[in-house]
Amino acid sequence: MRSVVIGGGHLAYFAITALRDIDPRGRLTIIEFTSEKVEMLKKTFPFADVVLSSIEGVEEYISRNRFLIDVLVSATDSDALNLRYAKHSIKIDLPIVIAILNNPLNEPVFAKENVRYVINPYKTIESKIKEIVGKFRVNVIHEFSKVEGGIYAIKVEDAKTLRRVQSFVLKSDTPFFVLSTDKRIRASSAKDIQIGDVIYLACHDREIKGLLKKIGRLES
Amino acid sequence: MTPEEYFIVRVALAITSIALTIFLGSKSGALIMRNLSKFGRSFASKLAELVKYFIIILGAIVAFSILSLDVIVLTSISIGIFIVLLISMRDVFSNYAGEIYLRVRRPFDEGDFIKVGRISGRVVSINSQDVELVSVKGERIIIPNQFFLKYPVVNKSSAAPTSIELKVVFSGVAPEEAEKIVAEALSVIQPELFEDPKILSIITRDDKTEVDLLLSVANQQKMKWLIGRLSKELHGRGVEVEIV
Repeated sequence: MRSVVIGGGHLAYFAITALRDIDPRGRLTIIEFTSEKVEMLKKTFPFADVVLSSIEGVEEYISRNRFLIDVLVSATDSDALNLRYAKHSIKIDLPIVIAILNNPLNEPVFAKENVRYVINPYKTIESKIKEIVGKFRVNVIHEFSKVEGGIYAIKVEDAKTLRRVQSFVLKSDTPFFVLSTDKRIRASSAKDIQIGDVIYLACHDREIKGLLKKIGRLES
Repeated sequence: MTPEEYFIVRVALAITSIALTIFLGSKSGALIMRNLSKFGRSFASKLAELVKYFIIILGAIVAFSILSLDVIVLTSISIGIFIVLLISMRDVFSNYAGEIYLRVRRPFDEGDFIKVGRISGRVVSINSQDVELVSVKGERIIIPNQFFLKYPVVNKSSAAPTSIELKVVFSGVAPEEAEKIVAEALSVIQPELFEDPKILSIITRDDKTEVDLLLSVANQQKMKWLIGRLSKELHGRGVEVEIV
């Protein structure tokens, strides 16, 4: 697989490491704008081709290699540049275009501009804090990238929530597991869910929204 | 039976007919909702309503015919109304047909990047009459559903790796030697592939050895280049080969 990562900062570091991990024999090209960083990247990632380019030259490079690039990750330190390169790559039909955000508040802008795969590195902060402190009613653990859905944690605080959650699991046949108050992880029947347990549900957005409305944890 | 009694029986039958069709209509609606909700609740609810009222109208026609209104006259009136409705609302019906196609066939989902005709963009919503897209330039585009029945749809988001099978034919080369040559050539193009290439089979026919390969790529535009590269690698190893 031929991947191109634009940028040489810390966001790009994780993207490069992940791409190398999933495809150790694949071709990886890093595009950077400063010669100092290019030298540093060549030493840090000897397996990659590191290209020095101007900001304007990136689009030309992508266009020239559009028949060969499988994955493009736009991970510069500027969201404006990331959006610009992602939009250009989508326009010329690259199959997988990923943008990594610097400012999470820019996420809707990327979504509006047709960038389907946007990584928000800050997304886990909220769910992690909720999970660590252990005081939450609903927690988004993971959002799927290719499906409108994810893994959601719901704390079963009372009998009403318990009944609704059990009914939801039985009716929708949603895969779930339970983290009980004694820190045990169970994946048994819906009838074994108890008050105090945290239930983790893997389902579509619309299904979890329906359940949250029923248990009064989402405004209709 | 006196004519009065006969008329009362007909009225009773007509009322029963209407009551029965109302009951059947409601049951059919519930049945449709239960079984077609997987294609979207609003879609199932609309279809259920349509079927319900269709059955009730049928019941009303039967009731009128029981009341001795001429069946042929009633049928002609009904057919006439139906044809007029069909013609005047043909675009609406066509859009509904388009929606049925989109819900059942599911060529794309909300969030996918598609191209239909000359228009391309990300799907924002799929509605009963139209599909809303946002173009690369950020323009909001509304496409009537009937459009999807007429033009091919390219879903660019479903760019899952594409696999193709190739047959490499060697002349006068033993199967073991052919496998070794192919493996060497594949190791050169492997960094460009989405998954490891696979040798599916090696068959010897007459003095020819056929090697079936499976290659997968994410960027489908790369395939032609890859075949050229593989061909060059094989020829570079001094063997007579043919890629089919």
